[in-house]
Amino acid sequence: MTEPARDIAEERLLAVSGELAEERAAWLARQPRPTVADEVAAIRREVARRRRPAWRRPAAAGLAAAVVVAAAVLLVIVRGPEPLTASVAGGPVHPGDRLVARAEGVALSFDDGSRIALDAGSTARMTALDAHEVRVDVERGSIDVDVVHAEGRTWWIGVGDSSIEVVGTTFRVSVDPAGDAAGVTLTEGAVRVVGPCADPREVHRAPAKFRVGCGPAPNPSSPGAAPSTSATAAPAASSAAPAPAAPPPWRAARSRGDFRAAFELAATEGLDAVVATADAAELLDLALGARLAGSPEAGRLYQGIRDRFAGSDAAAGAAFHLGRAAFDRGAWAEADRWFAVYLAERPGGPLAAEALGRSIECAENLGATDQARAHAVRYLERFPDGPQATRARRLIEGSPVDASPSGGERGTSPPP
Amino acid sequence: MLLAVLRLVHDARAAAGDAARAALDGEESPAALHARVVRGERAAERELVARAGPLVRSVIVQLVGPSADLDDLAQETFVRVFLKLADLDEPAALFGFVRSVAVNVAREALRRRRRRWWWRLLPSSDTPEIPTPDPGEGRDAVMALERAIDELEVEERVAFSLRYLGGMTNAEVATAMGVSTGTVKRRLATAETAVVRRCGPALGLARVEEVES
Repeated sequence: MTEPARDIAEERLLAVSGELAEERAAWLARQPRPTVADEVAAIRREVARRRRPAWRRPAAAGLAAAVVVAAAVLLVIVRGPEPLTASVAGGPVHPGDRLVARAEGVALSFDDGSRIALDAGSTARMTALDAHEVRVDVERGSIDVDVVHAEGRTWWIGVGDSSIEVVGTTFRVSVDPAGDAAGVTLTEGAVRVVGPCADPREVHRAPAKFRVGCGPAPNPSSPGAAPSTSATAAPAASSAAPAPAAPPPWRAARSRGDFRAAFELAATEGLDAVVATADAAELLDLALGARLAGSPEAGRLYQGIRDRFAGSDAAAGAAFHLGRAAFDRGAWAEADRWFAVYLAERPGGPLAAEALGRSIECAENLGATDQARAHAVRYLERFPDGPQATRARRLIEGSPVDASPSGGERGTSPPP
Repeated sequence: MLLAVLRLVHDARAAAGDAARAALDGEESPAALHARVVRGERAAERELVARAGPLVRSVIVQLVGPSADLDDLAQETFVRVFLKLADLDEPAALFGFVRSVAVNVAREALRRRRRRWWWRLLPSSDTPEIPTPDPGEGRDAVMALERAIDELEVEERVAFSLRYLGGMTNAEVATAMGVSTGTVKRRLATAETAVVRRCGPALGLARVEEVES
């Protein structure tokens, strides 16, 4: 191809490929995306599966499977499982170490992908950690257990005189205040309980809830007695000192990444109290949970962030979300003001393109053509390749812009 | 002159993409985030997936096109990222690393698709879903370009898509593909020629043939 021909071709390719890129970006924007918590959970499961030695993974089919399984069995007999190490926040944990989760929860990570998360206020002790056996004794509070099964390795969770034998399982253990019994919520897999008042032949399979230990379930009306909020002082001091405040259940749900459940638990507790005491990151997650639950309380949580953490990144993000909520209900003027608040507080923020793009639509829907054009010019200056670039260009050139949902102002509460 | 202007616009698009990425990175440095993920902090894992997710999905759609496999390919990307993260030499280049993994995952998906075409066993879930046609002017050219890209060899297709659909520079394409800039230039030249031959008239390039003759 000659040089002029190449120039013409590249010119046309650049122009048409730009349109194709915008089409694909628009398609992508329409695709539902799984929640981050769901995505991470699926990724972690797959990472753990691949980290297992190849001979322990399911083989493809037929003879290959038989050979691999046979090899795996042989390797189990000859080699046993791989050595296992554990860590908390990057620091190694050894047998005998005591784990204390104070204000924040603590995650105990094993290099095979297994995890044990302690709620705030919980304590536990690592009593065994080798290739064949892992044992964690829970002394106080609640833990979430997520164990990756490996042939030749036994996992135990101890509670008082009882032990829970784990078989590739996800479950929660909430120790009673007395520390000798617990409530167990089994969400995946199966476990067996060994100890007084337990039948070792009985296998509990998910989903299931049961108790470990001999004592009756604690009286829910007594302070700190609910399984998931249990906490106790040291035995010597228990008769004299009041038990420390138990962490609210919504914090445990949040630490698991289950924001919707966290919101629902917080709503049960009373959102006013939560808004008054939670930190900004917690409130943002709870607001996200409210949105996932389809609750209008999301607005109250975002407003709480604005009131309590003015000037922070969280407050700016809350302004954007308040604008989006107004936008979704067709309250164009209110939405436009909230987006303006976000852009004023975080002109280079990660949501600036979307805020500015939506401002264009707000102005158009309000019939403020000059303002819409001004937004469009600003948008193109900053985001020439943004998802609203085509709309902005057409608006500036005076061509008809694709119809967008239009309607009158339906919202009333303006931003401060 | 017009070509020079278009090139400037194209470069500006890439710069805007960089700015957006930098703004995203501004929340916490990639190196700090990398360190927290390697330490096993669940919150950091969630943050990485939340921040890099749009980049990963965008790269996959640019290279593979609209596909029912989008979520699976995005998950595969992150699985590989988490498996290799501890070995990353330059934690500051965390998001570049994620992008190069996404490119590799998309490249393998394209190779699998090509093999299935060869065996005529393409399942419906792998059939690209063409977005609802926009009757607007220029749609024919876009569809012709899409078909021409589909017919490119995988390596040429990846280079072409990253350059033209992703707005990346040749050097960025080279980094993302793990090859030299010279190799990228060769692949781009091959791809451009093939695309023009296959859909020149639809792109309004009849004049090209006249010039050539």
